[in-house]
Amino acid sequence: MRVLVVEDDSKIASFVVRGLKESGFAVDHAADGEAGLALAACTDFDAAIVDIMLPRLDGISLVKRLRAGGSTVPVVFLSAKGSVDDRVRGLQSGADDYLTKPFAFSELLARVRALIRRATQSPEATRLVAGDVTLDLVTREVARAGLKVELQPREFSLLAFLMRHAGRPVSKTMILEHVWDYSFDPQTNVVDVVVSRLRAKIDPDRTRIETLRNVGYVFRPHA
Amino acid sequence: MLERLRQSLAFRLAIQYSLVFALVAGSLFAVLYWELAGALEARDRAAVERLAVQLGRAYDAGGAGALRAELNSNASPEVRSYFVRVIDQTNTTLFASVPQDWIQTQVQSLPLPGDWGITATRQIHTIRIPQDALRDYAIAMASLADGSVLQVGRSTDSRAVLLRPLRRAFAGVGGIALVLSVAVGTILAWRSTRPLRLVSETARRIVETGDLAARVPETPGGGELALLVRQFNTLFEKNSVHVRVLRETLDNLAHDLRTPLARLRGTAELALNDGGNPEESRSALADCIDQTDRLLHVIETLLDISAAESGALRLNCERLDLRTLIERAADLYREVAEEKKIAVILELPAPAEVEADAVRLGQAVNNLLDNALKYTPEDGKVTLAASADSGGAVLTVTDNGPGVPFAEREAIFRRLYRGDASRSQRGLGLGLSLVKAIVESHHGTVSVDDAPGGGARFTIRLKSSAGGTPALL
Repeated sequence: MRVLVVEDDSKIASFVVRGLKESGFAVDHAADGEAGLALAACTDFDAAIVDIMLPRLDGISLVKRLRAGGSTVPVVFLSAKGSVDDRVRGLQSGADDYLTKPFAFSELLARVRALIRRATQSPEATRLVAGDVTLDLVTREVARAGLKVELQPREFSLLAFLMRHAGRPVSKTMILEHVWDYSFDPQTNVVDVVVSRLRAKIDPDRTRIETLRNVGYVFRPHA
Repeated sequence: MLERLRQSLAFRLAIQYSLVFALVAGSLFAVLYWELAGALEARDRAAVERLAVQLGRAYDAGGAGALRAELNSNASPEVRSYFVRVIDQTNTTLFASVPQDWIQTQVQSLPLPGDWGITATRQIHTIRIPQDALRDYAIAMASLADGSVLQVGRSTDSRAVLLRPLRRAFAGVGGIALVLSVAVGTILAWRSTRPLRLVSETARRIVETGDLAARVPETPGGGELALLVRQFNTLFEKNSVHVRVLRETLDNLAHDLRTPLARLRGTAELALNDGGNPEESRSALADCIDQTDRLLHVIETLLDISAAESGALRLNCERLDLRTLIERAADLYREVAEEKKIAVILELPAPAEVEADAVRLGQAVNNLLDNALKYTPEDGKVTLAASADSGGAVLTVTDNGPGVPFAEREAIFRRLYRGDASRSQRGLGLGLSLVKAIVESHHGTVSVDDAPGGGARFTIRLKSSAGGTPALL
């Protein structure tokens, strides 16, 4: 897995590059937009992390040019601007995700992994299986160890999201975005509340949905 | 002191008004003087001319003898004071009668006015010849039938002399009046500009000593200066309230940041001293991250509030129905409410449209609901309602919890304020101040009162068109 990091702030860049390397990625770093575009043109990356405010060529133009050139590499924008406006503008330019500084590295890592997985995945099956848990997206039936489990709509969406990313951590913000469709953090404990309800129904022995402190949750399928 | 007087507004005003006064009085005097002098001359001329006509008639009738008889017959002492002479065309004196107080020789040397215009009809020319500084001659000339010329003259007091007392009086009284008007004017203006000096004095005191309680002594009445003083006092009052609130906020902030920081440091120190055990170190580090996140969240929320209050928060206003925001908030908190067995009731009978930023206003509604759920006991009830109002919309969040004590109803919207009831609750004391900042940046209001039947009721009022950009403070 090869990731391109385009970031002019040397501190953030070194912290992201080091973190990605420690997580097993091969990383290339460019300190300005043009260098980033040149790197992206001659190397096949699995994902790109691009700052919006860049010298010489800003992140949004960079991604627009990449997309115009036919590249489908998943892109995560980094930006100090947290307003919804910037977020929408960023996503419209062709990026796949958006993260506001300051961010936790674990959050960035979870998002990059999710993007890479989505990009490499074959069209999604209507039936998700993770260990002894099965979930049917069409009939909305859920079973654990062959026994049917009744879930409320939100619990169902949450489980589906966790199972799609089985084995990989997802952050609370990612859950809020995908399950609640909230693009900003409403600063509530609703996620914890629904997770604990889901656990009660699907994971009574508390071995499947694991809480990762400071990161979020991870679904661990039973072997 | 002298320099201060010279620069003082009161003195300059007095000087300016005195100058105007002097100008007007001077012009008035000039007109009066001119008119008076004219009237004096007209009187002299009329008397001389009348006599000239009378004597001319006598001369024409009976020559020099008749003239003499006419003069003698007229016993009035006034006529005796006239100088009368007749000269022929060769400038030879044919007849002369000189008043006794004249010296004879002067008659001969009396200048003959050059251009008297002798014509067929009897025309009378009057001329005035200055004799010396004190006296003038007023002389009338009439041409006679035999071609000679009759002169009737009289020595009169010079106009300059006659009018001298007037000039003196004007100079004296005018001068005194001018000096008085400057002096009295300065005093009056000085007194009436006193509020200005008090305002500047008070401002200086506040700046120099930081005494925010200083106020300008107020004067009764509705004049401009009384109004100015009152406005300044209102300004000073507002400023001191702002400064006080700012200080309190800073104190609270310092306190709120110190606690997690101290905990953060404690955790790190403990982990460091423990040594060795990687599992415990990891847990300590995770704790540290938790504390840091909390701090970051406090700071981000404070920045949001500041941005909203200063108008720097960019609003993407669009037409929206408050019912959508309420439904979204209720949906977000459904499970939280269910956990506490709180019934969330929506009363949304009709559209309640406003122009607002959906995300920001949604945040405000979320915060109010979050707040209500926090303070409502288990098995309680929270009601969300929205309705259109004249020219706007009203949104209420009503709970049946303990309510907000009357004394705290303003304070709870302040940054980092923690009421007695909320100390035990998780939270930062920032939620409501963020609500207030967001609503006010939409030019709306938020308030709290008692719900009918107990509990708190928060009310957001918005105008139907909030305007895209908030006013800059």
